[in-house]
Amino acid sequence: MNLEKVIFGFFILLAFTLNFGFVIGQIDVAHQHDVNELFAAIVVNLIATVIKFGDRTQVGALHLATSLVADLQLIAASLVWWNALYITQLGMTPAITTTIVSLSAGALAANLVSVILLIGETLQHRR
Amino acid sequence: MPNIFFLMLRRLRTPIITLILIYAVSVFGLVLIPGMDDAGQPYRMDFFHAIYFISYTATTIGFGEIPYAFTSAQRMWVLVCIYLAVIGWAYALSSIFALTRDQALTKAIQYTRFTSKVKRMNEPFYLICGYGQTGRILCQVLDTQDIRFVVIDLREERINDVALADYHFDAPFYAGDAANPELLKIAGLSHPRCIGVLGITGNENTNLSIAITAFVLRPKLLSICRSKNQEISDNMASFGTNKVINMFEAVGQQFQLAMHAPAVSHLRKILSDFPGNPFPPSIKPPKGHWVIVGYGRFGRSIHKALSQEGISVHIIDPDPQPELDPQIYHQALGVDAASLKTAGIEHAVGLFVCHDDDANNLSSLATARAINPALFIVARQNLATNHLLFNAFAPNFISIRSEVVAHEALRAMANPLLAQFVLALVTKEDEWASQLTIDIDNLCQGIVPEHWTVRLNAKNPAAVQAFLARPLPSLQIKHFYHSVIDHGRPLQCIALLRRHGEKDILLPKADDMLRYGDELLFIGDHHAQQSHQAMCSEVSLMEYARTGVEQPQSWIFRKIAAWRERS
Repeated sequence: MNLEKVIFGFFILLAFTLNFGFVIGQIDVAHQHDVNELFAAIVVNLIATVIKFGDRTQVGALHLATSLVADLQLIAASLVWWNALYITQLGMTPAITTTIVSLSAGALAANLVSVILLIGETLQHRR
Repeated sequence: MPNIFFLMLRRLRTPIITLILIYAVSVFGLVLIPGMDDAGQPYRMDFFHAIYFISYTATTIGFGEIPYAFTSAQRMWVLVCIYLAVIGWAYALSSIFALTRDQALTKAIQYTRFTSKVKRMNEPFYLICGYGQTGRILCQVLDTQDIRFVVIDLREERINDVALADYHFDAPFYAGDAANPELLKIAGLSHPRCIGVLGITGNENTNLSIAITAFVLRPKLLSICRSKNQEISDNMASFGTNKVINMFEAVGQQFQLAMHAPAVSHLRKILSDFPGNPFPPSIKPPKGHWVIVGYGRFGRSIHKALSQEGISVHIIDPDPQPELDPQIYHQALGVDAASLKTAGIEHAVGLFVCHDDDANNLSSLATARAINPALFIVARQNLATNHLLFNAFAPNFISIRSEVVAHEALRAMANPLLAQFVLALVTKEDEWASQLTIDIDNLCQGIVPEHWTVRLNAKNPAAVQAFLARPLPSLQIKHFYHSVIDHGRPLQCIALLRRHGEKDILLPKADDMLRYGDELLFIGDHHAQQSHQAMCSEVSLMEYARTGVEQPQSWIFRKIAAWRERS
C-alpha cells in the first residue's frame, strides 16, 4: 500500500462527497444546504488542487483541470451567497439558493470526473 | 516557462497545503465559537467575517476585533490562530526563498529564458561560441554595427560578463558546453535568422565539433572556427568550414606581407580594421638580421615568413630544437644580455619576442633595447589585460593573439565582396595601394571607413526602376556619388569593387555603365551608407540621383507635370 496514493484518493473522494452532501436536497430550500459543508468542500477542493500540482502526464493535467473547475464553481457559489447577505441584503430567497446550489452542482460534476479518472487509473494499474 | 511554474508549485505543495489547513481550521473555529454583540445578545460569526478577520490577522495587519468586541473564548482561539498562522507563513516563505536559491532550478529558469529569447530573435544574428578575449572584441564590434548575436561559453563566471557588458540590446547568453549539438541547436544554429556560427572557444576539439555540427545541421551557414594547429585546421576545412583561422599562420602571413609590400599590408589592415577606429599605423619592418626569441608555433610561423623573404635570422629558445641548423639557433630563455649578444643583437635590425609568457617577453624586450636602442621590435602580447605594460615599453608592433583572431573573423563575416577585395589586393603593386590609402584617408580623415554592398537585383526596387522601367539616362557609378538631398554635393564614398557575374573589377571608374545584376562594394562614411540604403529602397531618390530633377510624387502633380511638358 502506498501512503501517497491513499492521501491522493482520500482528498479527491472527500472533495466529491462533501460537494455531494452540500448539493443534495431540494434545490430552492435554503435550510437543506449547510454553509459549513460548503466551506469544508471549498477547503478540501483547494487541498486536492495543490496535491495534483506537478503531475506531467496527460491524465495528471486533466486531474488538475477538473479540480480547478470545481474550485472556480464553488468559490463562485460562495460569492453569490456573500453577495446576497451583505451587498444586496436580499437574504436567501429561493432564486438565490437555486443559483448557489446549481453552481455547486456544476462543481460536483467536475469532481465526479475526477473520481472517474481516479478509478480508471486504478483499474488500469491493477495487478 | 509553464513547466517551471508547475515544477515550483509541485515543490511548494507541502507549505501551500499547510497554509490552507491553518486558514481553514482558524476560520472554522471562529465560526463555531459563540460571540456576543454590543447589545449582549448571543451572536455567531459568519464565514465571510471570519475569513476577513483571519486574513488580516494571519498576515499581521491587525485591524482589531470586528464586528463586535470578542469574548474571552474567542480571544483564546484567536491567540492560537495567530501563532499557527505566523508559523505557517514563515514556513511557506522560507520554502519559497529556498527554492529560488536552488541551483538546479535557477539553471532550469535560465535555460528556458535563453531558449525563448533565441526563438524570438527576429533580426539576423551570429552565434558566438566562446566568450574569451576574442569573443569580447567581436561582440563589441558587432554591437557597434547593430548586428545581433547569441553567446555561449562553458564558464558561468565568464558568461555573466555578457549581462554586465552594456551592449545596446539584450544579448541572449547561456553557460554550457558548445560541443553539445543539442545546445547549439537551442542557441539558434537552426534558427532561420542565424547568419553565421563562430567557434572561438579555447578548446580546439570543441571548435571542431562546432564545425561538424554546423556542417550537419546547416551546411550552407557561414562558419568560422579557430584552430592552433594544421591537422585540426584541415579537419575543419573538410567539414565545409568557410573560414578556419589558424592564428599563428595568420600572424606570419601578415608579417611577411608587411615586409614584402608595406603599403599593401597597410591598406589591408585599414580595410580589415573595425569601422570608426583610428587608422592603424603603417609598419615598415627593416630588412637585415633578425632575432627571434621563442620558437613555439608563433615563432615557427614567423621564421617561415622571414626565410621566404630571404632574411637572415637567429633563434633563441629554451627547449632543444633539433630540426634547426645549429648555426642559427642556440638554447636559452633569451631574457639575459649574454644570450641575446650570442644571437647577434648588436648588429640586428629587428627582434621578435614571442614566448607564450608576457613577463618573459617584456624582460627580453627591455634587455635587447638596452643593448641596441635602434632595434625594430615586434612583441607578442598574450593577455589583453597586460596592455599597460606593453604600451610602456613601446615596441614598434604588438601582436595580440585575440585581436588577430578577431580581425580575421570579422573580415570573413563582414562582407564577401570586401573579403574578395582584400584577397585581390595582395597581387597589386605597392604604389597603387599607397595611392588608394591616401584617397581613403582624404575620404574619412584618418578614421577607418564603413563598408557596405549595393546589389542591383530584383530585390532592389530602385534598380528595377533604373534598368527596366526608365532605362534612360543609364545608371552609372557616379550617380552613387551624389547626395540624395542636394544634387551637386558629393557623398563621401568610393566604389572599391564591381562584380558582374563572376567578373570582379577593382576600383571601377565613375562613368562605368552599370548593368542589371551588378554588385558594388563601397567604403565611406556613415552618411553615405545611409544615403545608399535610402536610395535603393526609394525609387524617387534614385531618380533624383540619376537626373538631378525632383520627380513629382502624387498623381495630380504627375498629371500637371506631364501636361506642362506637352504644352
